[in-house]
Amino acid sequence: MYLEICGIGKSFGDKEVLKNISFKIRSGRAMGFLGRNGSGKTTTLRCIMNIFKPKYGEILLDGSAFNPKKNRVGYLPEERGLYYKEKILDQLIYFGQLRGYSRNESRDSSKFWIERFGLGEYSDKKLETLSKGNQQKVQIAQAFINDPDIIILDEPFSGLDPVNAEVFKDVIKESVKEGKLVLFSSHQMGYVEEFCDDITLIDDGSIILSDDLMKVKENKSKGKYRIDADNIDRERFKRIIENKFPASITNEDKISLIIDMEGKSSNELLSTLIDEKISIKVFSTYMPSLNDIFIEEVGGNA
Amino acid sequence: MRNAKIVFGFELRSILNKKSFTIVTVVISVIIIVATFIPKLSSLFSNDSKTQYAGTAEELEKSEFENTGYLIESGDYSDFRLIDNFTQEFYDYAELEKEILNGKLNFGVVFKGINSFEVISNGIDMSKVSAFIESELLDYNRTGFFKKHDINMELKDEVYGIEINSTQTDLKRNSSGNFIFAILYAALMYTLIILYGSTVSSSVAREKDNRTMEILIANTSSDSLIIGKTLAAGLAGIIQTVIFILSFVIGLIINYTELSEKLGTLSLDIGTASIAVTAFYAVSGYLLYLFIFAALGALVSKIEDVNYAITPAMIFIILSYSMAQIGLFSPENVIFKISSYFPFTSMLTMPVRYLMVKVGVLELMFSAVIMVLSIVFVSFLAIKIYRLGSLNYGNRMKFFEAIRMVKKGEVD
Repeated sequence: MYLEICGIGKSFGDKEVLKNISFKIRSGRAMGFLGRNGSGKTTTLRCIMNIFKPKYGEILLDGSAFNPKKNRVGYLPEERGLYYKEKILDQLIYFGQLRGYSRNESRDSSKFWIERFGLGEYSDKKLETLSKGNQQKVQIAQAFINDPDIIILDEPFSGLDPVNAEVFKDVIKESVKEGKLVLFSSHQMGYVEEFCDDITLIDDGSIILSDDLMKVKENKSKGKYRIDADNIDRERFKRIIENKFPASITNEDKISLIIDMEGKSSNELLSTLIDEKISIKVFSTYMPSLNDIFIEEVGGNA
Repeated sequence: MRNAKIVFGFELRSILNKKSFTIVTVVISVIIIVATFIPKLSSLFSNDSKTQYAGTAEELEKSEFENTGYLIESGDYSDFRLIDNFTQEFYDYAELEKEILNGKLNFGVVFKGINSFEVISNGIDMSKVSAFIESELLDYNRTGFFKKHDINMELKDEVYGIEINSTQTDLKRNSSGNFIFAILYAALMYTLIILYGSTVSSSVAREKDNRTMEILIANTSSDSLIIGKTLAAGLAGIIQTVIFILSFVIGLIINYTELSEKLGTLSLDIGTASIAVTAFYAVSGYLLYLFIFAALGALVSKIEDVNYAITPAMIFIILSYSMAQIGLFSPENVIFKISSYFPFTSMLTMPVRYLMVKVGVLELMFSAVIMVLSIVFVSFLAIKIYRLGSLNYGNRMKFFEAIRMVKKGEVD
């Protein structure tokens, strides 16, 4: 199963917020949908869920027009909200029924997810009596009630403490393993990097990157190395490299310098440094983090 | 429609489980039951002498004439047996009057001739006693006439036994019972709509207020949501009204004697047609207003804005109620007549008009068709505005702006 967003656009008044957006999500893989604030992530997800009508373009599921109401879709909107005056179990049963479950099926599923998220003792309590974190868990639980084939989550980790985030990560990992199609937006790069197979980056309403995460990382790492010296200080080491290989230092962190050899061989670099009697402490290929990729891709437009 | 049923069930349970619903229902039901005791309570606290002649004229017994006096100014009353029931005979008008004023006598009768009398009392309703004496005196006069002219007394009974059957058709229904029924109908509908209209608006606005709207819209259609919500609030209102009516019936059963005395003199001219017309306008008008309130509730994003948004509907209800009041006293009034075709007012004015005067079938059908079309249009509008509202978080939409967007097809 694959969900294909084909050239959709959306405007609010004169402002064009989505410009010819296209990307593809496959079942059994989790896709992280990343972008800065106001880049168009939530609008894209709302268009997929048919909450907003795109101005142009279409959304296809296995090649046919996608209707979220006719498929089993779990959706967690960015605007968190449930019925504060209703009991947790009652409202989860209600959402399950609206998605096509019978009352009994919905009750069983609701109870399962309430337990799964550690909310069993609050099952008959009104939502308003729960802490913010637990309310957030109820909201996440509602997205899983009807055993959805497609899971769309807008900023699911915001508001979760590390322990609950771990529980939620496990749930997403299981869903991916079960062959479900998972798409979620997030600002927490660490979470995305941990279990996303694909990433899509959006900036100012346009897709700037959409691919397999490992492939992106490999592409971004081509010709890049981590290197650090043992017998001289960092500043002197930087000057030596800049003299020998101008403009090759792209970045640095506590561990090492990051250099881009731009097609030159690593042997050339190493032999030059040995000739300079520099003892090498760190030398490895450089694999950029998702955060680095994100900053590299969208940070320049800040 | 499956989801509309689910929304309906959830919303209805939600309203019925509210403490405020239970408290309001119990308090008003108690007030209604207590109100039915008013005639009984008022009789307990009123002067005994003022109520001792409450029975019909035929029921007045000799004992009812205790502490009474009479004065014969002229005429032969030698064979008038009612005279024997009085306690005391007087020969002076002033003396009789004095005794009554002093409270020694309950009332006095002055016979001013064979076919004329005066009843004197001090603050007591003497209409029934007066009617009783009049009936007895008439019989006494007639008997005297037959005797005087030597007519066979058996003929008297035969003559008076002749019955004339007649029917009366009055184009203006002037029965006092209909008037009371119309007042009650208008007041009940007014209260029901005011109470449950705002419940519908709040119910529609609450998803935007608590941000549940996006989950709902993603899972079901706006049609199911609006129809389910509106009908749930509507049924809750009907359930509460039925409980109030049952409370009244219970009170009526407990206080049947006192209430039947008070209400027995009212003449009702309500047939099946009147009930059908009233029921149609009650249900359709109620639905129309609930959808209007739903549309207005869909315009706002916060519950606290609901009261402001529903003001136009409130104005229409007050206007409608005022029209009904005009119609109660002046059913031929032109404005009242026109208002019985206008859908926002006809739910009150047409039943009132029908109860007060004759209304032609064509007129009725015309008004009913306008009403049904209005319900369809307003419910369609409510659904579109609700869907539109789901795309406009945070801002309160203006009604005409919403209409413009619906016309431009900015919603599905």
